[in-house]
Amino acid sequence: MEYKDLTVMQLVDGIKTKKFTSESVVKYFIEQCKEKQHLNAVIEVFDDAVEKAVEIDKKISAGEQVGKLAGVPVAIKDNILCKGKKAGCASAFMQDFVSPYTATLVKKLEDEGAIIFARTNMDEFAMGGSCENTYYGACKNAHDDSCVSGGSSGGSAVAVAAGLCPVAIGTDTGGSVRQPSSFNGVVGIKPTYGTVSRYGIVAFASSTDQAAPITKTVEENEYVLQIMSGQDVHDSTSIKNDFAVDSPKQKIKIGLCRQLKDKIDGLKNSEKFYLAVKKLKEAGCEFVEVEVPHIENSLACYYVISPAEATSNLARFDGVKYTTRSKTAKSLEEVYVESRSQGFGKEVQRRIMLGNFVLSSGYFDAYYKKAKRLQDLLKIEFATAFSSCDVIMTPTTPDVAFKIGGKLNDPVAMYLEDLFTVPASLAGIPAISVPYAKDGHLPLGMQFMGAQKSEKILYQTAKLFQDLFKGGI
Amino acid sequence: MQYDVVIGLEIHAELKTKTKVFCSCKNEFGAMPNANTCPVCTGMPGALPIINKKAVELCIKAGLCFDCKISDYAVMERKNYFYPDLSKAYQISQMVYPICVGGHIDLESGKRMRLNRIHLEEDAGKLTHISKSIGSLVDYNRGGTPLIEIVTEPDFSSASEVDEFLKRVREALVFAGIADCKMEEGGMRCDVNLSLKPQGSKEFGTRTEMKNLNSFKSVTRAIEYEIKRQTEVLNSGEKVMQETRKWDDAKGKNMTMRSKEEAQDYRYFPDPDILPISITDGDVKKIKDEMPQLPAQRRAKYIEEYGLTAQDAKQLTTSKYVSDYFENCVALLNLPKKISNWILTDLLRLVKDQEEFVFPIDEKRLVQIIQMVEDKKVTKALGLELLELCQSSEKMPEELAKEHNMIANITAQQIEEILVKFISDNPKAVEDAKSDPKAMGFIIGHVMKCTQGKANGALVRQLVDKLILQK
Amino acid sequence: MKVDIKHLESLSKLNIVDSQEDKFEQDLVKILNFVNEITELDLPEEKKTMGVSLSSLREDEVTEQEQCDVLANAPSKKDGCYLTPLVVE
Repeated sequence: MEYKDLTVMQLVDGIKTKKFTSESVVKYFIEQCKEKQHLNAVIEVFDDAVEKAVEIDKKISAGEQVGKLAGVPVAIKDNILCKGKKAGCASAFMQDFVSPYTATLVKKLEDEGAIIFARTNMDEFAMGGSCENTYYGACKNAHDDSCVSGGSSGGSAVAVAAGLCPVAIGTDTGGSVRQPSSFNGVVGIKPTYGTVSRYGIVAFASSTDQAAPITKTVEENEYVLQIMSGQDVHDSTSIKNDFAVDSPKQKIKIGLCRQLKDKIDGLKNSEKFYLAVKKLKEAGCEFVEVEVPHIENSLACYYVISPAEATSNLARFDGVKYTTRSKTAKSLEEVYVESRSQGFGKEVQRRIMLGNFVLSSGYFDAYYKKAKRLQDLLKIEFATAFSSCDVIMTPTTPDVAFKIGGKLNDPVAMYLEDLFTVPASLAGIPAISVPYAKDGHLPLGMQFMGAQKSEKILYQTAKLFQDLFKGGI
Repeated sequence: MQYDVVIGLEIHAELKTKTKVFCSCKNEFGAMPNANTCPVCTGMPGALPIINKKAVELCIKAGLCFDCKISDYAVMERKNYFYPDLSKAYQISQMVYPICVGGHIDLESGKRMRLNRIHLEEDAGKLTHISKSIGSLVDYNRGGTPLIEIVTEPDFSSASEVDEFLKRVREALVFAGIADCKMEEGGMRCDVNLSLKPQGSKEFGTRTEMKNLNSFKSVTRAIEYEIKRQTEVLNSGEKVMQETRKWDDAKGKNMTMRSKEEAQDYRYFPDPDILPISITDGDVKKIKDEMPQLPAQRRAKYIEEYGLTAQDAKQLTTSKYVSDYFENCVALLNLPKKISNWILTDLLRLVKDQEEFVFPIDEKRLVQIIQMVEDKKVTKALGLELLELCQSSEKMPEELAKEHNMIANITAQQIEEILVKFISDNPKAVEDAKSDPKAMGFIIGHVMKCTQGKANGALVRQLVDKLILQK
Repeated sequence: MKVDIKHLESLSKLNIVDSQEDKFEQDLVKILNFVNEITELDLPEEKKTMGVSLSSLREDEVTEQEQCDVLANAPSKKDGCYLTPLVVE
């Protein structure tokens, strides 16, 4: 038996019952990180991890109470703050940044005994779908190191898929947890907006940012998300989400969105998608066709709203309070312009400029305001759709992981990767990606979206689905 | 050519809250640099603003002072621009949905000055410019402290109207406990938008915006200067440039700060970190119920109901404390004119030159003193002495008067004896008094002196009349 | 679709090196053409979304805060302040 084959719950149980120690578990995963360094999934292993594991073991030996994640090593994406540890958003600009305070979600994990032991690679400032836009070098797919990991939470997805940690935390703004989870054959959720506090997560697009766990199984995912979630006095957009209390459904009603039918039918792997539909029907699920009339405009909407919010969120990185200051800068204007031009990578610069375009005088009404109205409309359309079904099913991504470098020079081709993931982000509804098939050696994920705060039914569906496809399709 | 002056104002006032508008840091003046800061107000990555209820309530209160319509829906927006005193490179302010809309102040002339809106926003930090070789220091203690911005319509046509308006604004804000409005400390700031147009013309001219006006006096001077400057520009056949100009109080003139071409595009958009706020009628009513009556209304009451002079009414309403004190006294003793005199001449003298004061005696004791004087139990002079005594004692004036043997307890017989002796000693004075009523005061004074002021004045007057004037 | 790349650079406080400016502009135009469909949509008028109640907002009380060294990451500091090149007003 290897630790990487155990679930989070099994690890906690083993540590608590002293079948094995947290120290041995943490050392094991640190070793895995070293062994698989070439994947570029983990940026840094924190040097106090073993020490913290020993402390937990001592507490257990002394018979003290320990939490629900006692002694379990957790990796966090490089945009999540943990006091005293570096957090750099995989950017050259922030490479020396040491977190001055701790994110609420990290505190919640640590309060339950988790050991934050490593930080993972990502697309710079979470902008990208391949984890190639990173100061630390492209993160490689766990199943084929010539392919991308997906992004932006590529490092977190690969770390779990390759057995570098039992659970990793990612952030999802337009699909950044779900897409790399799909590419690497692991489970990733984007919870209802506000379920996990954003306090201490470097903001990309505030109105859709959500952090979430990436795990091997649906059960682990639910277990960890419950620990991370909760309303927070430091985040006024956070909500109370009691997704644990609903009773399970006898018969799950699955919606297929009419407006996406042509898109899905045209995919290379559409056959597999419909095979999955068939299998679910056989397992007793009911399928209905639902309407989300403006879902096809989601991508355009997302690529207006997210750069707009990002441009404002990233303005604070100016070489004055933190982030590297350009060595050649003399005047204040030079500090701003040179620090930012040298510090931000190309994709980030592109999105900042795009954001400023859609916010600028003369374009604001036509782009930003319109996009916001569309976002409001999508929320209503989804709510209506969920009155006739429990979940809506789509592929997570149009295809399996692509080759590293394959889409780097075509930003729009890269944005199209988010086709199925951005609608849930814009509508603020939960969506989960569960692996179910492979195309060759590369995994494919299925996405289930649910109504606001419907995580319970989403997890129920995901579990059923996971069990149906355990042996492949 | 004759021109009409068109002026509009943007007034900022710092709100009196314990904490900043988006974090729980102290809102106080004078701490060590960056002592009152946290991840939120220094714009650390990942930090999020949490809006202060009190700041919203005070903004609503300000709106109620000036008859604004209170919005049922308010949205905070981001105003984006780079400047080192702005930690996030955006200021959280309001644009499309401000908390208060409209409103007005009527000047003494009866002219109505309209408000456009009052909105809530955060203040910026402080920059200290050292030198070219060292640079500028950035301190975020003030960053994130709450401000309201009062924006007026362009209804003003002179510096004096602006001056009266500003004083009325300050008076109301201070009175209602919304802001301290210390202009010299930056607690209240005023930007002036000014343009000229040919007399009677309907079309507005090109306007300039003036900043850095740090006192009421500089506002007046700056307006007068700018009217003169624009008149000269127009009279010489040139055009006024749309620009921002900075007032230099020492030099008594203003200079270009930035022109319209450099004008910023602030790219306002709703702050996704702060949810829109719903304000119900119940919320507004609750705040309204807590509001004190404002000075203008109080003055009207003092003049119309109490018969005070306009001057006295104004003096009594210079602060809420004095005005409340006065009204408490009137509630205890319905002699508003007498009470007003005591407060304005005798009580205020005791706290002269103090900026923030409390009167040394409470309303109950003052009213008792006034009552005793009115009842002729003590003379006014002794009443004043009692006022002094009360400052170092907790006792009621009546008790003090007894202890100090001040009560007027001289009998008519004793007074008659004094007067009889006086008549025989001073025949000349007696003759004078018969022809000159002023001399009578001298006789009364004599009696008071002989009785150490403890004689009842009315009784003395009555006996003087009987023993001297009637003879 | 045209973009004023210089204006966007100025708003963004970014300087795109001249040799890359054309490619950068092309990419931006491409993205804008991609999102342009949004400008042509006929959407219902803006509705006020539900706001949070006034009473639910943060109370005005100074709370004990965890110590946080706000200057720890400053590239330049002096006398408890962040330091910038002289700001010319």
